[in-house]
Amino acid sequence: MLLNRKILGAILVLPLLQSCIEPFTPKTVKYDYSIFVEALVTDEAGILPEVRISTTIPLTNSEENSIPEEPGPVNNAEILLLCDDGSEYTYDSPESFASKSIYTLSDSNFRAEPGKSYKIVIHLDGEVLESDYEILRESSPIDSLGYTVKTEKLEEDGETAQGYQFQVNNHNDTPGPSYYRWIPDATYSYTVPYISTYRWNAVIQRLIPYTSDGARECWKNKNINGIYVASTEGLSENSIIGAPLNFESQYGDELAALYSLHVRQFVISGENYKFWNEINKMVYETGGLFERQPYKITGNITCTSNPDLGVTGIFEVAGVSEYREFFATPAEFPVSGTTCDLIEVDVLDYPLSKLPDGVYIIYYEDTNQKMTSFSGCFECNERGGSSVKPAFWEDN
Amino acid sequence: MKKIFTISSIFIILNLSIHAQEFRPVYINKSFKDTKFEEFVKTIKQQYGIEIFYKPQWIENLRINTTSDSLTLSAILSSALKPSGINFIRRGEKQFFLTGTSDLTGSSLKKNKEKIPAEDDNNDKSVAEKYFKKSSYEKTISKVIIGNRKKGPGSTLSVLSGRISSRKSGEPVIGATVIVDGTTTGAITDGSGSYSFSVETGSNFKLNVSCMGMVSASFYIEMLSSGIFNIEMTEKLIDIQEVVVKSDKHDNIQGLQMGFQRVDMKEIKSIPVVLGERDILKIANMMPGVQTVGEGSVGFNVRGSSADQNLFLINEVPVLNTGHLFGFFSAFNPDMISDFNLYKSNFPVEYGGRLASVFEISTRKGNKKEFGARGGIGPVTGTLLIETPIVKDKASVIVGGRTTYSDWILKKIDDPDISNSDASFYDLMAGVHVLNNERSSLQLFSYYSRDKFTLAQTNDYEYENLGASLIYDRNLNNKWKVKIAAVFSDYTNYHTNREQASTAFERRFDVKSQELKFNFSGYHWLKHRFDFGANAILHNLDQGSYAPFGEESLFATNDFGKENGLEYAFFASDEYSVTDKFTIYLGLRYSLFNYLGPNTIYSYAENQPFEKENIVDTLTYSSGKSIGKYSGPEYRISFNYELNSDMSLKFSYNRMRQYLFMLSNTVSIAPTDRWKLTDPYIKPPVSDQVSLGLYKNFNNASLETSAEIYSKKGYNIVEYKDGADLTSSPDFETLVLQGEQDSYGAEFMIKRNSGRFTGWISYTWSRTKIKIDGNETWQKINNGITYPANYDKPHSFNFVGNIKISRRLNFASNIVFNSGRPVTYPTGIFYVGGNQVISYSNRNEYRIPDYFRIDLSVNVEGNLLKKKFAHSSWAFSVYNLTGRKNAYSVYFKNENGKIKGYKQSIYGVPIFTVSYNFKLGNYAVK
Repeated sequence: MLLNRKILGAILVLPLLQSCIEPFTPKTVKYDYSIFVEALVTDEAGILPEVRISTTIPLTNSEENSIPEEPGPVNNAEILLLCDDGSEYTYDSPESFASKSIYTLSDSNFRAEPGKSYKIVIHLDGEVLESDYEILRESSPIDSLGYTVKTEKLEEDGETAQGYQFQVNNHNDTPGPSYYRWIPDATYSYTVPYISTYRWNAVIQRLIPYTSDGARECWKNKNINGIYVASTEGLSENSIIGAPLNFESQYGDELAALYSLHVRQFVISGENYKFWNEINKMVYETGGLFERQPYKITGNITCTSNPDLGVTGIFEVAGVSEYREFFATPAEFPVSGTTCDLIEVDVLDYPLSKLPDGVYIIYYEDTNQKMTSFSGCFECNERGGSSVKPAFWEDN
Repeated sequence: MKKIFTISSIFIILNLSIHAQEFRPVYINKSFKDTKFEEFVKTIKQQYGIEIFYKPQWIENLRINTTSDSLTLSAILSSALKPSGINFIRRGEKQFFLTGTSDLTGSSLKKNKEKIPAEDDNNDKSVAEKYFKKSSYEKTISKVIIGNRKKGPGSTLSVLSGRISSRKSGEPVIGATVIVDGTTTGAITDGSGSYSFSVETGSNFKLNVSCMGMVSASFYIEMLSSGIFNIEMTEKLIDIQEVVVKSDKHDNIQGLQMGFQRVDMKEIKSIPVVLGERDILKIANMMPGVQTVGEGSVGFNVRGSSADQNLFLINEVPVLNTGHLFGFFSAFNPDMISDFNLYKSNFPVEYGGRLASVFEISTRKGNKKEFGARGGIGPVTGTLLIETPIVKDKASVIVGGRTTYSDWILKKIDDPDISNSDASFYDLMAGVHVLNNERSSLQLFSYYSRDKFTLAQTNDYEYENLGASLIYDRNLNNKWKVKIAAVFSDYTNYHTNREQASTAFERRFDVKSQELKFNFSGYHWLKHRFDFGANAILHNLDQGSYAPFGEESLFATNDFGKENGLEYAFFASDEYSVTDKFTIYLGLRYSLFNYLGPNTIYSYAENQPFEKENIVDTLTYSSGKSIGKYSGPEYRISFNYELNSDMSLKFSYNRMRQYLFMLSNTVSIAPTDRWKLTDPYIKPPVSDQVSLGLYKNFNNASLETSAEIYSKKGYNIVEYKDGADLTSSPDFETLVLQGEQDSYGAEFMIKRNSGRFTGWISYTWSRTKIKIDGNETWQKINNGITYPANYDKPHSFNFVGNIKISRRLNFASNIVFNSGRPVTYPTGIFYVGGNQVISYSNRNEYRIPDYFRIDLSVNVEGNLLKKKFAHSSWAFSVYNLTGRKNAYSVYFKNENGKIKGYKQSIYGVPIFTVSYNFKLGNYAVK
């Protein structure tokens, strides 16, 4: 039939359609000075409650909008921790500028107890900031840590990569719902393949003989940013299964050998959970076709003397447990750790004189070749790690 | 049935005879001596009622001399005109036409390879008529006698009513203007093509009939008594030679409507295609006062109102989700659409239930004369439509479908969440239209659309719109017309979230409505025209339950319950022509809403936030039991003062009430946004709108200009509380707050309807602000400070132009400029546990960059052979010609511990598409 022939004959010219995301800095955005208070009380032994008070920093207008200034210190506050048993504790003022406005509880014997309620009162510049009483919830154990393989964008406008999406599983014997926050940190091992015999001294323009300490295996700690929270609200069991933690991509040393994930689990209040969850949505889960309306978050610390004062604060009281698990290098995808190709130097187009100071050199006497590579391929500390094996490390 | 009307000649046009001797000879019992031709014509008209049409240059210096007083008119004309070689023909009993030097009586055109003539009309016309049209540009005017003398005396006013249909397809012509020349007396045809209005009994007048895309027609009417006059109109083929269109496009001046836009398929055809389709909703978006949040988003914001305040009706069936594929396509198959009306203010009393607008979409009724088929294939979608008469001239059936055959479009989007997605959609429409007799018609229509997409392999979304309507129209007598409509609609939405196996859930919700509507219209008494009616809608909402999905899910089923409500209204209006120049419309709609059981309602402690902790009592209502009632009047008042024949000043005041609304906490509508009935805690949103407009036509109405200002206040506008989580609680009152909305603006439009270049330019300045400021702190959003709505775009400029190079080639272009929509920016960054966290500004304090886009399209039609099996056309288009990366959103994100700003654009490059359309028959098939 003619119609069919015509349809089949129709040629479609394919358009080039793509959505594009590019970095953007608004031209003029006003800066609102406000104070942020972060206070944490846990039942962990040996960790004293701390309060951190800082000022907001502007979203800078420079091209490098991702590098803002440091938050300003607030060192003149007087802080009290009240317990519902009537006891009161004071905090020490930050000792130095370097401590970045961190106030530590004065009584070094203090240990918060589950079932008791705590409240924080801050006197600052004639104003009073207060939280409500928050009960310290009993800690509960993490059952295991796991992972799934995931493909993610490393940067919003960048390439995608495969990696491990780590997950946490737990259960809680108390009646639910329970609310959790997890603070993970990682340690991973890597190896340095080469031993250098010389280092280049650019000042005197000479190769200096050098003896390495010989450690080839190294360990590096990694702080993991991100806010990881979950709740069992709406679930039939008071258990968390597969709540997402951090993502480690196939690029980098993290997954190249053995990876140890350590997680501190905080049992928090529903209100605290909501605070973190909202921050998460407004800081990590923005963008997309169905964008949520962002808004100014307020925590559970308010300025009782002047409610109009822009204060955001979170006072968190939590029972804490810890868990560590080791993960071998993934079989599901290739991992590209630091590459350690050797480059020959002291040749016509690459004379020693062009090398920066301190470069490690391997000298092969038999061929009279001088080779170098990325400094992290010679010494552990050059990649930020240490050659001292952590006490918890299990080789397997 | 006794025929109470006579139509002398309109249908004679079709069978026009060229030979004078078929008519009774006219004897002129008067002699003329050296009489100027013009005077002779005048005399003949006065004394015999016969009109003679001519071009002045043919009769220059021509004098009439008769020797006898009993010659026939034909003989007089013959002897007078022969010497100068001028021919004439007689048409009908009372019309003579001079034809210049051509002798039409013997000419004929080649039958083979005959091309469609370039005149307004093509088939079914005599050679003479074609010739006339071309040579004089004068319209043929027939005289029609309505009613009979016996019936006439006794009443001073008679009602003229009838139905206007397409000569080609027999489909009703909707929105045609029928007006008494030189007055404001007249009517606009309704959805079934019917009109009716009253005039003085015994009067003689010229009736002008015009409609966009149709050849205008005029008739001399002698009104003996009330009667029916059905008119067939011919589709217009826009002709590059056409310089003068003497149509009476007065409706923007003389009609009462303001804040009103009407688009029919003809107009749609001359607008650039987007992704291979001519999308009616995208065209609506080019109208002043209509905004969207962004490209690829569902829904509109009309005069500063949220998207759920628009009522989309397709043949009376409400459609709750009007978007396919995240909103990239509209849910209406363009092939099926005959036209749409958009009311932004001055709503007719028969419509209610939404605050901002009514999109009244009419589908084609199907060809009642012959079988037809058409279709199209574009880069994303394919369409097919079939129509055929069941009983010739009486009943037709039409079926249209559309589907996407590729979701490649998603794969091209550079976002893993979207490129890892699958999408498909289709829609089907079917209609049967039956003309029972001259007086009534019956239309059965059904609509189904379905969307399914999987986002990032973790979220499945499915939704369906199902609807049907049965509409019966009947002329009870010459004075009353009744329309009865039974409507059913069902919107179902299904969502699964599989992001995490242990918390995977599924949820289905369903919004059902059944409506019965009676509308009596057209009663004329003196200079009044009355309409009245009533409607009742039974809403049944199943809010669904969140249920575990998959065996591993620990999700506990959380039932959100069902809601029922009965919304009903009584309405009446009077359109009163105070003088020829001044018309008043007074309408009142009284709407009532009854929230019905079964349901469970919580009571909260006094002066405490509506939160679970504050529940003090639980009341259970049995099925059908009234839980809460709301009611109130809705005023619909307007005036039209015609300053002169091409300029008018209009005013309107409208109140609207809404009992069904949508909740959304995203900037644009998300596929999961849910609908909700007004309940004992959530009061119905109400709006009051006043508008004032000045309308002026130039150049015999080929250029229409308008300026309208409006101010709209909304009350009980529903907004989500900051951070409300819709999955957490079935109790909506714990999630929302109500406040006020303040919108105002000015809309300017210049529109050219005819000629080689057609199109419009519009500029809108508007603001819309929301204030949620309850007495208690928890009753405030943004600390109670007024903030701009998400779709507040102060400046909006649209240009839509179409240049017809020839009948086979035309170029169209859009130019769009909008202010960027409001956005909330970070005003500071603080650190929490090593993370940079954003402190946001007050809501919507900033704007994303302005939006600018140019589109171009070229439409190439197949050959114009009159006799061909099928006609095809190609449309080549470029969307976003300049490739500007218009911001859809600006957002900030913590990446590796640092806050970074990003701008997302949907179409960041020019998009070139080709689409192919075909239809059975020749170019002229409508």
